[in-house]
Amino acid sequence: MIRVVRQRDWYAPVRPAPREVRSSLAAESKCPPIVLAGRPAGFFAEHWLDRAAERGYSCHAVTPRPGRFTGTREQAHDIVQVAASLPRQAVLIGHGPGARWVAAALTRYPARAAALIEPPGSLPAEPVTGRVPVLVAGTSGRALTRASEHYGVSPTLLGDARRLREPGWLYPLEGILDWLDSLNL
Amino acid sequence: MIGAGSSGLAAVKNLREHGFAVDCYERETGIGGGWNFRHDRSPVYASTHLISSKPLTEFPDFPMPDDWPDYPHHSALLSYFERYTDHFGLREHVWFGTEVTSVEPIENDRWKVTVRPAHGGSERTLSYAAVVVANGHNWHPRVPSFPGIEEFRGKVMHASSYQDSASLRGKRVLVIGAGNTGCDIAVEAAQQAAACWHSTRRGYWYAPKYVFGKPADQVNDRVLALGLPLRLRQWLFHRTLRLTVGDLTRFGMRKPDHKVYESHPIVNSQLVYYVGHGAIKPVGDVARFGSRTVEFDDGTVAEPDLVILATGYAPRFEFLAPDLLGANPPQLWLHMFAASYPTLAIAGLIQPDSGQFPLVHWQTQAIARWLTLRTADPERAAAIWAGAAGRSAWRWTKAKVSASERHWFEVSHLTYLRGLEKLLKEMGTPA
Repeated sequence: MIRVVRQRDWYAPVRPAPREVRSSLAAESKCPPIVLAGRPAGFFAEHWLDRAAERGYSCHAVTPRPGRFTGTREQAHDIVQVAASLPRQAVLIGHGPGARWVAAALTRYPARAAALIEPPGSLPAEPVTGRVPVLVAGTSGRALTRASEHYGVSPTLLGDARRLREPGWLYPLEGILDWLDSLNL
Repeated sequence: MIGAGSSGLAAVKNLREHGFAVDCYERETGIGGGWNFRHDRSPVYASTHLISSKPLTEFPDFPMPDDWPDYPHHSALLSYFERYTDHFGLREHVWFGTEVTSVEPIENDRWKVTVRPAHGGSERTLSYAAVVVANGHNWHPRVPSFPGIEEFRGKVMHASSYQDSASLRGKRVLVIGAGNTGCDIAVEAAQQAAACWHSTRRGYWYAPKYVFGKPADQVNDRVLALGLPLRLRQWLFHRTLRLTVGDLTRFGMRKPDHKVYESHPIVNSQLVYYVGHGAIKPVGDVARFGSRTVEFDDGTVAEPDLVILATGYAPRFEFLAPDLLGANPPQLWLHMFAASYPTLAIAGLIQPDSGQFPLVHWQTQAIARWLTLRTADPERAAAIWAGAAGRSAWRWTKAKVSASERHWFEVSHLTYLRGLEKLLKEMGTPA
C-alpha cells in the first residue's frame, strides 16, 4: 500500500556514511547508467563493470556501508544516494543480498528499470515508485516465484546456481543487457 | 503545465511518469522559478538558506546528497532542481521564455490556452485536456499602505528587491514584518547597518534552527510521531522555547498573542541573539510616517534612512478568470482542485510547516492519478469527485490558524499528507 507519511524518514534520517563506488564509464552516454549492488564492489569490478561499459552502459558498483547496526534501510539509502547522484535515471541491478537492497531502494527511487538476481524471500510492503520495468531472475524456488508475483512479471530461470558465484560467468549480465537493449530506454 | 519552478518540475515529472504528454510553459529562460536568483521575480536574497532541514524538504524520490548540510543555501537548492530536471529528462518538455496569457474552459472539460513569447511576439492558442497551474505564490509583493508614507523622504523598498547586505552598510534601517524574510534582513542589518529597528504587528514565536543538537523540525516531527494531542505539543514547544530561547519580553519583544502552530513558523536562531546585543531594537506596529521619522504604536520614534517592507507576497493568477477558482481567497479542495473544473489543478499553493517539495511531490502524484482515473474509471472518479464537493473549504491544519490573507493556505504537513495519502489510496494504483 502506498505510504506518504514516512515519519521515521523525517525525524530519524539515515546518517551519512562512506561507501565504496567503483565505476566504469561507457564511451557514449546513449544508454542509462547502471548501479550494481550485491557483492563487494570489487567482485563486479573484475568482469561485469567493463563488459557493461563495452556494451554502452556506464556502470557503478556500490558497496553499502558495513557495520553491525546497518539494516536494509541504510543499505537501500546508499544505493539511492548513488543512483540519484548520476546524471540520468539509473537502472538498478541487485544480486543476492543486493537484490534485497534494490527491492527496498525501488520504494524510494523511480529507477529506469531494475533487475533482481536471486531475489530475497521477503519483499517490501510499499509499492515500487514510478513505472519501472522489472526483471526477476534466479534458480527456481519459492523466493523466485514470490518475487515474480510481487512485481507481476514472469521469472527468468538461470540454470546453475553455483556458477552465479563465479565472477567470470558473464551470462546473466549479457542477458540483462539484452533485456535493457530491448526496452529501448 | 504553467511554470517550471519547484512545483512545475515535480508536476512534469510525475505526469510524464503516468504516461501523459506534457507542455510546460515558463516565462523565464531557466528552471527553478523563485529559487533561481537570476530571475527578476525571485524573492531570494544572497543569504537565503532553507529553514526546514533536508529530510523534510527533499523530494521523497530524489534525496539531496548526503554531504550537504542540514540547511542548504538557495544556490544549492537551484542546483538540486537542475539535477532533478536533467536526471528525469524534463528540460525537453519545457517551453522557456513563453508566457501564458489566458486559460479558458471550453467544451468537454478541455482548456483553451493562449501563450506568447515573454519578450514580445505573436500569441498562439492551443487546446489541452488538462491544465496544472504552478506559477508560485512568492513573487507578487504585498505592499500595505501606512499613514503618511508618501511624505517620508527616506528610501522605501519591498523585501523582494532586497539583494544583499551591502545595501544596508552604514545605513539606519527599519525592517517592517516578522516573517522569515523580515527576520533574516533584520539580522543582516544588525551585522551591517548603523542602526536597526524591527517593527512587528504582534508578538511571535521565534523557533531556533537547532534544539537539543538536532534540526528543530526533526525534533518537532519526533514529537508529532508520538501522537500527542495538539495542546500537549503546544505546551511542550512553549516549554522548550522558554528553556532554550528564554522569555522574549525580557528582551523587550512582545509576548506572542497566539499559541505556537497558529501562525506560519518563523525559524531564526539569530534574531533574539542580536536583540540581546542591542543591535536590533524591537518596536511595535507602525503608527505613522513623518518626513524623516517613523512613529510606532508603542510610542517609540525611529529615524531611519532606509525602510524595508518585509510584508510578504500575495498569490496571483492573472491568466485565469477570477471566478474559475471560486471566491477570494480561492476555494480549492486540498488546495489543488477547483470545484467545477475537474481538469484544472493548482500545484504548490500551500504554506506548510515543513519543507514545501515533499508535499508538492505527492500533490502532483495525486493530480496525475486523478487525471488517469478520470479516463480509466470514470465511475470511480465521479464518486470521488462527488465526495470532494463541499470539502473545498477544509483547512489542513489542526491548530486554529487565522484565516488572514497570509494564512488561508497554511497547512500542517502531517495533516495535509494524511489527506493526500487517503486520496491516493482511494484512487488506487494505476494499472
